[in-house]
Amino acid sequence: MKIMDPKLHRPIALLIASLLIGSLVFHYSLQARLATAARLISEESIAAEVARSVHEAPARLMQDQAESTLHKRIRNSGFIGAEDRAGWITALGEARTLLNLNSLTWHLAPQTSSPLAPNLKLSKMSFSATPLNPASLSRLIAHLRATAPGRFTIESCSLILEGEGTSLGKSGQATCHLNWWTLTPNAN
Amino acid sequence: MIVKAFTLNDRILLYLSAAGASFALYHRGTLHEVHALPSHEEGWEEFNALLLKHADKPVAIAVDTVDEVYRQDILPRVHGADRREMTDRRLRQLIHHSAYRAALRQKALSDPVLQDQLKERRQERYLMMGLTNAEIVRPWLDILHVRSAHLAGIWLLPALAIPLAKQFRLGKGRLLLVSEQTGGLRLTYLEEGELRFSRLAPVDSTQYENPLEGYAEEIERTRQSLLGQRLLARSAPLRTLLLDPLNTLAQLHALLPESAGFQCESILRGQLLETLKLPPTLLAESSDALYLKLLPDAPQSANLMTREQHGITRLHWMKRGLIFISSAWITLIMLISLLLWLDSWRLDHAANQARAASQANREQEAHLMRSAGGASRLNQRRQIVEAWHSINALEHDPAGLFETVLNISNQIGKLHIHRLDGSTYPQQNPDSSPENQAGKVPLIRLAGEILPFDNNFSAAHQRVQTLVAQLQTAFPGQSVSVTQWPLDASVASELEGEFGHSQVTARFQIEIKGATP
Repeated sequence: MKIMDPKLHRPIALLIASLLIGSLVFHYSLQARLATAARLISEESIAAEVARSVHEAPARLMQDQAESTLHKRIRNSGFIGAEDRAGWITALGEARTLLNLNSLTWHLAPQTSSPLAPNLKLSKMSFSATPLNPASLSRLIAHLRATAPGRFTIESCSLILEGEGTSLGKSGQATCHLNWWTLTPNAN
Repeated sequence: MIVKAFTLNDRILLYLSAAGASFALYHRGTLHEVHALPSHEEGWEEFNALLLKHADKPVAIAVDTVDEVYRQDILPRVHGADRREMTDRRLRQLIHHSAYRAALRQKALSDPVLQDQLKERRQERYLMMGLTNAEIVRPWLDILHVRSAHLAGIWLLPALAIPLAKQFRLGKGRLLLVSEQTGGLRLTYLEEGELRFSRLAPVDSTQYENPLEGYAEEIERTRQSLLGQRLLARSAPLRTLLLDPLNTLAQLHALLPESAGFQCESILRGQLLETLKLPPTLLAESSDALYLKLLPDAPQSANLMTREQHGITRLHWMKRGLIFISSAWITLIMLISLLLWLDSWRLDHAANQARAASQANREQEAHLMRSAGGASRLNQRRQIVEAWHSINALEHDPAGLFETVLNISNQIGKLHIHRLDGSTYPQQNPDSSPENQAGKVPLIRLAGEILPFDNNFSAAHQRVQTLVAQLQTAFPGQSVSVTQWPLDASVASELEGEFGHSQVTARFQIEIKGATP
């Protein structure tokens, strides 16, 4: 008997078709089952998060009320929204006039994202001014804090004092590296 | 077609003898509708109608005829296709005049010496059997061919003695099975449940007043034949089993006394019905029902079908097997898929419930947060405040620290500070460089010199030490260290200098570092 007798063609075709159709049906059913299971996990995770959020809502409301004054101050400080570089440089120029400085040079780097918080942006600024002593440097920084639109922190400062006499009365060149921070909240 | 593939064992059973024919339907291990068929054309027409009614059912045939041949043979022990080839060749030599022949392998022998010899020589014993005149089956096979029905097999009636012996647990020792057939008296000799030979003895009842005397004479003749062939020892009694479905052979016991070398027993109607699970009505319909019931269990190696018929049957079973596998696969897949879909539906329902719960909670949250402008506005404000607080930690005013350092140095006197460097506290600095993380970047670094210097390094060192002590007091929790003394007084250092020609300086450097955790 030949292996592939013509009388076996139809049963073999039927077998192949059943294997193919069966495999496809099984694959489709399994995929549907897996997709539903994934959807359930996602929905349950969301439900748990929303339930926790509802549970914590009163506490969050109280905290929000407690922080309303601070939030108002932050909103007025220029911390939220786009950078006001013109305002910063203007404040530097005003400080130079106020402190009667011979020179004040500055450099502002491009804005980068900060890993400290989501949507927090950082711009590094460095400036050198002369003549300055510790007291006048404090005044310069205080002036920037008071007038510049935005928030900055001081990363480092160097003061090179020149001349004779007591150190306290001397003045020299001050170089400071500042970090200007801005926050761009989500659109929603 | 697919449903039929599942009924693998269903068949039509046909019993043929010189006196006539009968048939039965075999369905799920049970006999149905046992009927005798009329002789010749009328019977063939009825059989043709039966095949039309039960198309696709295979037909198994049992033949009870005197035109049979049995030969014992010993052949080398081989397996598989080699055995089939070898037995076919031997059958062609021994039973060359008939295409209907089979080689039945004898597994057990009553003579242990012979059994050992065969084992040692790697040989096996076969019973070659054949139908010497196929005229009895030819018309029926022609009808099968016309109807395209397929043949399950053809067996000589003695082959049915093997399943009978199994069912009645007669597998031990030598046994002569005697049954009354329409064509005469059937005498079948078995050893250890294996068929050795059989003969259908036509009995002319007109010769005897009591027809059983003719039977007894034939049985005695068979015993003599066994003795002549040395299959039976002269002193050994012959166990003779009378198959008596109609309970008509009881008186034969008296004609076969133990003194004549017989050990006579009977299997009566009741035992047959009970052991073979045969409905009494069927046996009443035809005594052939007994053999028809045994036919599905006949050994396959005793099947007399020709090579071509075997090929056709194999093809038929392959077709049914493929269809069965296809159907079973599809059924299994459908069942599994159904379970998967049911489970998907259950999970989907649970997901919808979770979504509804989320929605309800969201609405409740929105209601609660309405006074604060909504949850998203509140979250936004929270994010802003958190970012603000994270920057708070970086707040640092070096100018104030510089003033403190200069005030202390002025109070000590003669300390002239040239340079002050201040940086963010290391642990609060966003810079994540390894140096910074290890707390090595100083909070304040100051550089200065003793002015005016009177070449008194001891006094200079004392001033620096005083400055360090006061700085330590002013910056509690910080580490204040001198990185450069006016004179390197370390014993491990080499020192060199001159007084007189040039101005001697007393420079120093101090670092205030964050305390190492």
